Amino acid sequence: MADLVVDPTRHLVKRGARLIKLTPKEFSILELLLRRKDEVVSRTVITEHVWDYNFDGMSNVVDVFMAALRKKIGDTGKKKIIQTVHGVGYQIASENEA
Amino acid sequence: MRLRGIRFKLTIWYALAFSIAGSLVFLSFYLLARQALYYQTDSTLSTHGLKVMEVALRQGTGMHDDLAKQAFLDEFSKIPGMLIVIADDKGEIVGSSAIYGDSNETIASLMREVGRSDKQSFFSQRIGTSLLRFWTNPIAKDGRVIGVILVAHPIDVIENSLSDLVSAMSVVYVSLVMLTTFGGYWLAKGATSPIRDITEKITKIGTENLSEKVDVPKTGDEIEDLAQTFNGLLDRLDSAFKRERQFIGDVAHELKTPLATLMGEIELALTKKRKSDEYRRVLTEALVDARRLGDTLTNILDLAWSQTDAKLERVDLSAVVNDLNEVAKKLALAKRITVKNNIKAGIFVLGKKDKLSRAVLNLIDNAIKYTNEKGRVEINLNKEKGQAVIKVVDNGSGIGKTDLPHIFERFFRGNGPETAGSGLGLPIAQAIVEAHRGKLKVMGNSGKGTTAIIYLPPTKL
Repeated sequence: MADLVVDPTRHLVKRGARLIKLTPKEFSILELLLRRKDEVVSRTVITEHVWDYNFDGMSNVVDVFMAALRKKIGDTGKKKIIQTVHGVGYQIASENEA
Repeated sequence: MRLRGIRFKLTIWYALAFSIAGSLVFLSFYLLARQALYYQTDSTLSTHGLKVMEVALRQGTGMHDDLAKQAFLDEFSKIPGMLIVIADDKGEIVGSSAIYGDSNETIASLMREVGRSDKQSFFSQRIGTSLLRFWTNPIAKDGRVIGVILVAHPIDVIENSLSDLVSAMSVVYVSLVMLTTFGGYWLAKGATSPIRDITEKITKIGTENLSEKVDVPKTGDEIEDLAQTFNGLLDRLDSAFKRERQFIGDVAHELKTPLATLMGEIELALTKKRKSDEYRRVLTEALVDARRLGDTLTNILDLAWSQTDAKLERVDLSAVVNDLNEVAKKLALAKRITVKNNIKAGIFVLGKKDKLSRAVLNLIDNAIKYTNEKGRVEINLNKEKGQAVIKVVDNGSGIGKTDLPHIFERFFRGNGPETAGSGLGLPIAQAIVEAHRGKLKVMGNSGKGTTAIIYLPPTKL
């Protein structure tokens, strides 16, 4: 999975040789998860980070964005880069990258 | 009567102010009258005195001639009560029209006293039983004082008049003060009685009859303002109270069942020893349930408090709607719904960013929820007549005629598809929009889709 490259300064994401177009919101979700690698990031934290206010009572918004993000970076295999921690949030764990 | 009451205080002040003003007026009136009367007497005395002096000077040394002296004294004593005395330079009386009997001695001593003075003077003195006004003047010939003249007239009349005046004025004064005091009391009573009415009414208002109002007197004065202010306060209290009650009711209504389920789940898990995997599963489910409960609670709170806090900020509505457009696109993915948009840039409103986006998101959420696969949702932001207008249009299942009147009721869920939500989406959106002094309109035809429009007043910054 090490073929996923994120360049925060240029807002660029590459999967292998393929350049992936992400919206700013999608990019900031991915960036947040990477910055907190191995931590479980809750939906609340994600919404507050990305939208600077929270979608209280609408936590499925994050799930929808996550689904879109996964689709774009091709994270649809059995071993996922972004893991769902049921009922809590999401996580990118380092052993998957190795 | 309360001694600290406004009525009492006002009365006291009226009475006090009037007493002081009244005594000043009466006192000055008395002093002026007195001065006028004395002036009159004094000028009569001096005029006569000067005439006598003229004759005396003309007769010169003939003064000692008893007959001549008596003749002219007689002439001038025609004025009743008038007393004329002439003395030589040593103070010895040389002629007198004295008719005061035993008082001659008093007059003689007076003459000796005034003989030393070289100016005219006026004074009052009691002789015998009557009060007299005196005028004295030195008689000078060729710069040498040769005698003294004294003219006097009783002023009992003046004194009696003055004392009559004083008693009359006292009666008038006392009755006026009494009248003012009663009048003041009556006026103060009239002025304060509406306040007392309001106080009485307010005492009777408690939590159970907050919707009652104070009677507003149509007087256009401060009391009317006060009554109106009270009514405004009562209105606000009433709506706050209703909101509170509604909140408690909503919480009970919406949280009881899921809480019971959650407790049941946990209780069941605890009935016997289980494997850690099973605990994990139960805990995870409990967390999901708890989160859902939290979401519902937030919704209800949003609804209850959307009208309260008033700190507004300038919100870039275009940016908010653009963000939500992206959310809409993602939400639509699963049902392959096409999301179109027409969002005008640079539209600002005064409000709360998170609440506003919440309202719009609820509309978008509804639109997607009630639109079939491969349907179409349109999000527009425009400016019309200065108002910001957000329009969310779908071609979904619409709203049935029987449901339409109820869509803004809490926990109302139409007979739509199985995707029914909390039943709070539209009520929340409406409450938020109205808190921003805007309007939310929802139009729908069963089977022909729904159009929801938010109108927000323009920013004035």
